[in-house]
Amino acid sequence: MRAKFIRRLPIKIQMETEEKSIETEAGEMHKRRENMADGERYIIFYTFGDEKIETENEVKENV
Amino acid sequence: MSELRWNPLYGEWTVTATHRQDRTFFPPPGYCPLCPTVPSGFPTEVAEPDYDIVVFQNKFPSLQPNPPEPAIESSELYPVRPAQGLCEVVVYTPEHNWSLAQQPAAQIYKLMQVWQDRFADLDKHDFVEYVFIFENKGEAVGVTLPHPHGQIYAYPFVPPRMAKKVEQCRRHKEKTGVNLIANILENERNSGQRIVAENESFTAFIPFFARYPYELHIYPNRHAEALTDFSLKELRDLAAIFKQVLKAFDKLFDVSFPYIMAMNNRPSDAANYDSFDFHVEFYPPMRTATKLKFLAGSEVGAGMFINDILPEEKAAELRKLVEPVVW
Repeated sequence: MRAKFIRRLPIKIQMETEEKSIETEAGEMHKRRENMADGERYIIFYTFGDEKIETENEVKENV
Repeated sequence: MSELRWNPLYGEWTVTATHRQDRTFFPPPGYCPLCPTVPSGFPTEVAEPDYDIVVFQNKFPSLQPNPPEPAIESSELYPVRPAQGLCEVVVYTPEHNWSLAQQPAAQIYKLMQVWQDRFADLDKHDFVEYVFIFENKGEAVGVTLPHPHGQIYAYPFVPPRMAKKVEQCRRHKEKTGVNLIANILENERNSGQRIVAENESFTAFIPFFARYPYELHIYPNRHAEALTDFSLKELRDLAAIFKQVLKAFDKLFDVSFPYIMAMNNRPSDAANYDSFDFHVEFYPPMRTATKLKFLAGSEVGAGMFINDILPEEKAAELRKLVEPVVW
């Protein structure tokens, strides 16, 4: 299997000022990853808002 | 039992996943597994209510990150391989009764960001070659859990329809020097007859070659291969056009309009996909207020679709129902 590499960066550098206001509109995205009750599966809670609520479980996917 | 079995007639894989026979089927009120768990209530898949959107691994997956070894031996004619991959459920809202069309545009914008994030994460897995984001909506397309949700399948190969489409795009670029999807979009915009809605970043239309009466495509107005190529402004525009077409669908026959939504991103196998463009397709099964389009002999047996209605007429019908988005 070929090794993967990250080929692209999201085009988020354009129109920075506009982006900022749009981001504020929905609030910044936060995600918190936990194990489900069966201990085998993961669940990711996504919230949007200005307040940072991630725990140390904040996601780095197992890739 | 779960495995991939090779179909030598069509040169494609079939997933055999017998455990899926036991999946939840129209649970009674109060037992929806996609609702957040309430105190002293039935334990659902989502143990807490404090979220905007939640994503979890499917309890009855067709593909698993650590799949069992195939239960049957592989042969030269019938190759078999483990059904490796990932299947996620994306629950759009804690609210049980609100379809995506009924969500505020701001919630759909959040969903776009979650989809973008999921694509970015799943795209990195070594065993994943294609990330497929989709939604089945309505009993008419076989939905057994009405709570608004979609799914993501991360396949260990590029699935056949996508592989064919990618190849068509590659050939078109080679032959003409322009991207096929951009070429289709240009043609549709020049004609204007089949356009349903548009904004600065996206255009929605019923294509010239539609196979279903209300088949609707959304194409980006610039080259982009995947959700991860879009800025927040573009995701917001994508949310806006989703809201417009979904509301128009619901207004057509004054019903919660059923559909299959397929989000087409480039494959995840690290090859070059410059000739491919991101796009979204909606396949609604309804052809009138009371009639469904069934896939029958010609469609299933021969692979040739017969559309009884002109796309130009259906696009005009839908276009009249499109309203401005209120944020």
